[in-house]
Amino acid sequence: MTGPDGIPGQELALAELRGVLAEVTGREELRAVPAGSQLFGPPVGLDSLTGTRLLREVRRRFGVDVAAEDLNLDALATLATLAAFVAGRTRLPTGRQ
Amino acid sequence: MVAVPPAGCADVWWLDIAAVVVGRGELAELSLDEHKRAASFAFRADRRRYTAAHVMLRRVLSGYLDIPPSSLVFCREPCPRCGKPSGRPALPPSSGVHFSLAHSGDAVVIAVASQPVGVDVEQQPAGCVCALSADMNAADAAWGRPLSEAARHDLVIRWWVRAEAVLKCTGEGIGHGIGTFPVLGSPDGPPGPAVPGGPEQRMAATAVHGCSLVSLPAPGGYQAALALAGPASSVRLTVRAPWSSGSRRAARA
Repeated sequence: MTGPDGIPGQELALAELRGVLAEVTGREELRAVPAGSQLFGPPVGLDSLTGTRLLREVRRRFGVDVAAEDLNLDALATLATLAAFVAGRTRLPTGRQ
Repeated sequence: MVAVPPAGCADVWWLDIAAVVVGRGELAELSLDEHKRAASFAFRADRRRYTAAHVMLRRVLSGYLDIPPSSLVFCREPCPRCGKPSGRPALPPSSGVHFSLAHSGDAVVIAVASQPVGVDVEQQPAGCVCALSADMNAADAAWGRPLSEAARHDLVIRWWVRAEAVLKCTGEGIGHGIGTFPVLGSPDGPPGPAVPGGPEQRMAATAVHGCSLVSLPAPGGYQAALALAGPASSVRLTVRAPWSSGSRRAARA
């Protein structure tokens, strides 16, 4: 799943992020949520607390500070946009080498 | 008609979503935008939570304004920091009624006041929340370091609801940062969980960021806080609908 030059593909980031979403929300069904799903609207429906926990986990696991690098937070539109943002800034996610 | 609380006072309405039946009559009270948003939820539980909370909000506010729930028109104030239309959801200024709505898990809480008000509730979340300590103001984070992990989780959520209540009261929201000022600190240590009192109580408040901040007595497994605009030493709370037994009745008031 690792892309060229050791950059993890978006699919790898997607899988990791689905796990993070399930953990911070306590909702196991989010492990199978479609990539195009909105994060702060339906169906994921993150609130401010779970959204902040997601960003904290992204920073811890991928070393990417989304809030600092994307001031408009466009990366948080959908699961896919966040995965693309993370994949483009990460070489190897923690624990998935 | 319900009297709007005087200055320095707030009404609090709790609703247990699990105890609410939303029928066709209640759905008819929602706006087209609210229907569209409700319909867009993929999971039934989310749709039900959103619908019940907004039916409850309209019914509560209609009691203060003496107009039908379906006639209420909401607007969005500009953010006081950046001017974008991301500030407080509000009624027209001429109404003289300010409100704040929060929900988490099965709990919905609505605060009503005659001055800007912010309320937040959070169910103790899944998993470890210690990572959020990095978002806390340094003075607040220091209170958590000597605590056991379970006590730290409690403190982090207490911090969160207090900070968010203030930022909802001012209309800034958390987009401009949530740890820019302390909300827990005092010479006596951080506040403990709020102790349930009677339906009317005066609670000692902490002056934070131009607001009067109190931890709200909340249902088991939840923490909540309320902030009123203007720094004052106390806030007088009237619980119009307590958790559980009164919630269903309140939804049908």
